[in-house]
Amino acid sequence: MIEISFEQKNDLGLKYVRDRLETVCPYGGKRLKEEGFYSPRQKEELERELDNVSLLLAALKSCEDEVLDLRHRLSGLKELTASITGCESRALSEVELFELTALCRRFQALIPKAQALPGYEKLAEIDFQPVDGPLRILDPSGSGRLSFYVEDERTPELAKARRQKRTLEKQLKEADAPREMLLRSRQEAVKAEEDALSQIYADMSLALRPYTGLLLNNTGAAGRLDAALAKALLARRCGCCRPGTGGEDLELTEAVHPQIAAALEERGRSFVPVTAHLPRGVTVLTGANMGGKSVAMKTIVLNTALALSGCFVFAKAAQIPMFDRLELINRDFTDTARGLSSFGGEILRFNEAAKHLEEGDFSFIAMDEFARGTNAQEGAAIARGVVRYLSDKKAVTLLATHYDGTAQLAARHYQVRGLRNLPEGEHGGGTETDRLRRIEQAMDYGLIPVENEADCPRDALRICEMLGMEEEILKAIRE
Amino acid sequence: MEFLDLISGAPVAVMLGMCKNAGKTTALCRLIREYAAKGGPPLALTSIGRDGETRDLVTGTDKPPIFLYEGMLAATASELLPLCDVSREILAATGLYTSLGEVILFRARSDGYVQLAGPGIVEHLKQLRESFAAFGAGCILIDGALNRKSPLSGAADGVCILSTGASLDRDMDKVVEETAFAAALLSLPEMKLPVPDPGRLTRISKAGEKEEIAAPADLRKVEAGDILWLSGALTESAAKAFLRNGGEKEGLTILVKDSSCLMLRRESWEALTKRGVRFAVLKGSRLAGITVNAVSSGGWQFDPKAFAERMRAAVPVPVWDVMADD
Repeated sequence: MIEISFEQKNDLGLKYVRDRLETVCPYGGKRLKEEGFYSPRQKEELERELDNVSLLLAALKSCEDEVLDLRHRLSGLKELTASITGCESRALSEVELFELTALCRRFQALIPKAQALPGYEKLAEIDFQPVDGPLRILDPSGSGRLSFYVEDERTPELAKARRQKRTLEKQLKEADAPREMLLRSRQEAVKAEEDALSQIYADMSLALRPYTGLLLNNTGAAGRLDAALAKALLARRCGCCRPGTGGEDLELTEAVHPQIAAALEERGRSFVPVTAHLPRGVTVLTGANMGGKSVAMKTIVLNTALALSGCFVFAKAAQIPMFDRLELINRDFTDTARGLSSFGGEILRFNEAAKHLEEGDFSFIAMDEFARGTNAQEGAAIARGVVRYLSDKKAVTLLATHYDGTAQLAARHYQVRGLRNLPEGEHGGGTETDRLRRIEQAMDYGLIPVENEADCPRDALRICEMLGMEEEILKAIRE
Repeated sequence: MEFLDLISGAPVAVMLGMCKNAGKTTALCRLIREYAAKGGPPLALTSIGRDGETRDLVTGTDKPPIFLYEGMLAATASELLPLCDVSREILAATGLYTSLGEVILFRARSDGYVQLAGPGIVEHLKQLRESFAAFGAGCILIDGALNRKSPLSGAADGVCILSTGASLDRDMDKVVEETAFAAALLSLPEMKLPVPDPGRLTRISKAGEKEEIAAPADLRKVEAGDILWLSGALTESAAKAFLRNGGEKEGLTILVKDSSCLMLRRESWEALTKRGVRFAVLKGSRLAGITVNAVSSGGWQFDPKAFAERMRAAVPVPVWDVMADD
């Protein structure tokens, strides 16, 4: 089972994307929450969900107004699960019966619109049932009104009580009537009306019981439709593509991280899309400091997580294996709160990941500068050992590292292109913002596959220089 | 002239009380009764918060004090619905919540008593007004609070009716003066002016120059014809400090958001107005009339005629004794 903590969702940008999935009814929001991640056993379900998004995306293309009208109708649905299931065990109140009437009326108007969508019959698990049955109970006279009122003729008791009440009120309006007696009689008539209504509400609730399943089916369908529509609208707005699922190789073509891309855009820069092919085994990612290794890694993990939660991905093309687990082994600030060093936290998370591998799970393991928190020599040895261990495991591993000698052990090695087109002359001048901008301009964030023999690039000193480190210190470093 | 004429033509009216037992509910019920007799598009009722229910002395049972007529609309909290004895058609669940549940709109399908607890937030009243209008309401009548904070401030089309009575004080003079003071605050002229925000105390000169007043001593700089904008409340101590520092100048206007921001006592108010200081509000209200109740809950009572006469002499709006004229 894939578990990603709240902090990790935030850090990955998963929350950013979720916040942009705009559901319009409470059932849609609930559906997204419950949907979670699909496991390898749920591959068919995942494909059906992706089919739904594809169908709605096509419908948005061919009849946008109708789809948006349907979405508007979905937005009128209220969360009434407690009342729907409530009739199984108790009498509903007049407000609940009113709400159910309004819900059924809304379904009555919405269902034909949904059924008119091109491809409606192909939408998986979105099969609205007519609500005539429950409406016959809630509005037996067939008034068609949106309000809720029990007519006098519903039971003889109610008719009698209301008749009495009306007669007494008429008498009360006549000035000379003995008010005291009349008021007392009116109280009795009011009580009789209340009793009659209580009985009617109880009978109605009982009669609604057989329709609990039907109503829950409809609210569930509304939720699925709303959620899939939110995914389709986001996919259309951001040019997302449908991911292929399954296999053992993770492939992404020109993938983007929407949150980072938006932040870059604000600064007048554009995101360099990430293209990568990660086969089963270990892929090592190396590159200069500030070269975007973490960005590339986040982009790959985010899009993998999105695909496995039934969303389209921010890429031109994608093939995502059905993983049992997504293991994110990076520096986590919650470790310190747990009394762990960052190194300790990493090792514990790795142990957990290894345990699941030994249990036969198929994992995607992303490690951002694993073992960097300890001395370089031991850290490198640990990183190399881990690569060796993971090489023949049932896992796709992506390891970003500065340690030499790890890439040679891996199945694949990507390098961030790093510093290119360095400007001549003084590098460290100007304000801090100037220096950062200079690095951004000189940096090529693209990934290139390299031969395994290559070691990690040596750009750290140049970065120090460009960040304006004192010449005296630089000199000492060079010596 | 009928009592109902006070609110004639106003799409929304609010009942305010000077104290408990001032006769606010009696006045409200009278308006409802006269409205029912007149006919026309249905009256819609709600309240700001909840007023306590009363005990029916005749039958010895708890019963709500407001009597509604068939066809009228009302909004109340869902938990109070079972305490309303009108036959009702539920029209809408508003999505506005009170401590007693969601505010529900219904139409009375018979005459009967209702208990009202509407939205406690003034902003929500606007939404409620729209919902009532959608169901064809004529006038909207709001049972307001026991203070002079009108939930209608800024709603130019609304009016308020202020109820006062002997329960406020044993001394009739004091009741009249306090009520006249409240009436004056509820009738302050509205001044539409762009004001700085937050700027606690800002002097706006005739030429429109704005200058923040930081120290009490700076109040001396204020000149006749200036406007002094107070973003918060003018409290009693602030009013005293104002007088002490020579801030009062003839022809000066003190501008506040609405009348509820004037929290000074009547004595200070009088001291300022006597020296020629004027008051204005950004969001005004319109006082349509005052009702008086000569009987107090404490056992004493005034001479009804004398009380009404004194009140009439003290305010420029119609005064009704809803108990006597009933």
